[in-house]
Amino acid sequence: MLHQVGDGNDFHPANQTLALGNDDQATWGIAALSAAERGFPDPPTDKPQWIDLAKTVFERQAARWDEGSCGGGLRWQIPSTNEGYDTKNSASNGLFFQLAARLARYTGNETYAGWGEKAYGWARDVNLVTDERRVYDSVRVSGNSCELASKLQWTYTAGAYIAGAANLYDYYVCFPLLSPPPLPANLEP
Amino acid sequence: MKLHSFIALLAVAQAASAITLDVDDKDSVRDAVSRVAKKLVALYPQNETSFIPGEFGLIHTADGKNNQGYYWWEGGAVMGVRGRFLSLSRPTPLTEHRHGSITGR
Repeated sequence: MLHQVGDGNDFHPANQTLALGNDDQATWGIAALSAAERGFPDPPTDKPQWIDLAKTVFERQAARWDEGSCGGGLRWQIPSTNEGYDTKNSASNGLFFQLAARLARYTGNETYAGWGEKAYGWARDVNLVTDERRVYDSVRVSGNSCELASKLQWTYTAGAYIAGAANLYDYYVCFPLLSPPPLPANLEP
Repeated sequence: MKLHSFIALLAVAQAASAITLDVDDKDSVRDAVSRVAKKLVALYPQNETSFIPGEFGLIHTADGKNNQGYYWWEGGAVMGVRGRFLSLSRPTPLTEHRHGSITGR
């Protein structure tokens, strides 16, 4: 895994820069997070640690949260010249939601939980996650408009949201030993 | 991310026969996951001179002649699930960490 971290220790290696989507980067960040959660021995101290890799990927992605269109969300592609830069897809946004939720559960840091709520709320707002909890593929950004681009439903992206929701539920409900934060309204089952 | 390519990778991993799975039977789940894991390990080209850690290179199909490309994220997906698989299949489970165990609350 360490071989793929790139110069920024953020799973954005130089040879992937031109083709990198937020979802691609998130998949590797989540792999590092799994290693942290499962208690795998960390790399030597002069190398990035598992949890730090996951946090760095999260920070890079949070910085790309785009309020300029569709009221928020992550675009699919990172380079603006790539096909797919004009869409915001459930893979990128669902994995970002999951990363935030699992970081909240792992660290206990409410900032991550807040981002999780924000990411899920946004997906509900633009109907990537529908009232019936279907998970559609993507919305397209076009000027000021934001329209559903594809209603394809992938098991993978539904799974990304389910896993994120389970982790955030655990953060809010199953670990209320001291001062349980209330479950946000938009996360009510 | 192109999901059909991951499905293709799994299809390659499963080759000729489908894997039957009874989700209520622990042994059946273990058997299914270990069969997929073995196939994935077999696809990981760590004995080839062109090997780059974390990358799958070219995926060969069962007939040995194809060289389907794969997507870089698929390597990340495999690494993540491989870690979970290893931690679950160890004789002594690794401790799972979440903030209770980290902060001692």
